[in-house]
Amino acid sequence: MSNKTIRKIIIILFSIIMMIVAGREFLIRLNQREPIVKGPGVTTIAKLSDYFEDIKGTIGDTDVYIMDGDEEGGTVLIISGGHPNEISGVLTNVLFIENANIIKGRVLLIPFANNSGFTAGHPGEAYPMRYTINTEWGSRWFRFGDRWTNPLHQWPDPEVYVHYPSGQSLSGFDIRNLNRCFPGRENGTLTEKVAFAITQLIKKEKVDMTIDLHEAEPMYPVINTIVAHQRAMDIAVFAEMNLSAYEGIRIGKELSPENLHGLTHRELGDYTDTFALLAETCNPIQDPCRGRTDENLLLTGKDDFILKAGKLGLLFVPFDENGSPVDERVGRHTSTVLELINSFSELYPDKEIIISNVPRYSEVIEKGVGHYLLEPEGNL
Amino acid sequence: MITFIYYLFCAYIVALLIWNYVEENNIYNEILYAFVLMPFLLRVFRIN
Ligand SMILES: [Zn+2]
Repeated sequence: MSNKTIRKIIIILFSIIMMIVAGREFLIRLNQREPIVKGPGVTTIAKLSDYFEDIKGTIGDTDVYIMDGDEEGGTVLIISGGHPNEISGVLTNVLFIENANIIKGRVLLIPFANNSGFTAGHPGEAYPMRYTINTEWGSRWFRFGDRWTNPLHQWPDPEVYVHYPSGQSLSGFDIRNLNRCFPGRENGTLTEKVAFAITQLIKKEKVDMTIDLHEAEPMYPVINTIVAHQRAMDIAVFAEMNLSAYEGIRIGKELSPENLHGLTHRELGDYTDTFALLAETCNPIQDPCRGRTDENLLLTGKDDFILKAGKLGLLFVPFDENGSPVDERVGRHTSTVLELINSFSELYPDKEIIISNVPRYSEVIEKGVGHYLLEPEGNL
Repeated sequence: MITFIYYLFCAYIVALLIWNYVEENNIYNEILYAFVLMPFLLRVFRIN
């Protein structure tokens, strides 16, 4: 063999090794699934494809946890993971799934709404692949995904995304943004089909109230707030008053803009009978001015650059050295969800929903999210 | 359909890169081809 051939073999071997190293990480991201414990209150675990056959066998299919109460009452749906990089909603849903006891009514939960987005990271953003929550018995890990559907599963993006059915023009990449695709389209893209399936679920299960959980960057004006469809505004107003009066949680409320299409709080309220609401907490890892992007930032929300931005008055939330820890964000969401359910129950007593055993703001902050996570069977 | 053509196109580029790599005599170009090959091959295998 000539020197040249040996050289070529060495170089290509080196390239293959690098491909294996990188490819292994990508494959883990594509296939990893965190364990979720079926809590004592969970009656059945359905699939989103049960409501729209077309997504069966696709990455868009996802688990729907159904918790039936002892007495009949109203039905609430809690969605998280519509944006897979907004972790406080996912953790809130997991706390409900693993702890809640439903006394009256029904609770449906979709923790990983855009399942495809959980298999990707955002190119160039240095997102960690997963994060770990410490508990008293060990630790639990969860996927950290991208805001958008994985381009492997839906490609290519158009130059301009025309929302169906409003015809509103949006950025091309938002065709992969689940929270710009509602009410969905039966024969549309994967993301539109997932949105369509959720809309079908709301119709078939006669969901009285839908709460969509999100997070936003501190420089974004819609943060630490409840966004409500006009029919759901009363519920948001009562919840906001109770949250500030009894728990000292400062939260805003906003009316869903009539002309901003594709979002849950607009389209689900317009196209179904559900009361549509959305809640936002503060997640500094989403902010473009952040510094080092790692699991620590994701969980503590501490960042010197954002702190500096806050001192310059550029943020829409109070922000100090304590950052925006995940326990606080999840606590805000659990209290907000519970308070929205209480307000709904007071306004519509014949559709009352009563839930016990879900920790509120102060309890989550005191004991930490990990305290409320169960140990999966066969966990090593 | 577009996706299918896209993957065919990627596979074609992979083939061209490998062909160029085999034919090349300059070591720097060989390294270049070996590196450029990586993302295309990963894409053809639907890994990234
Ligand atoms: Zn969001």
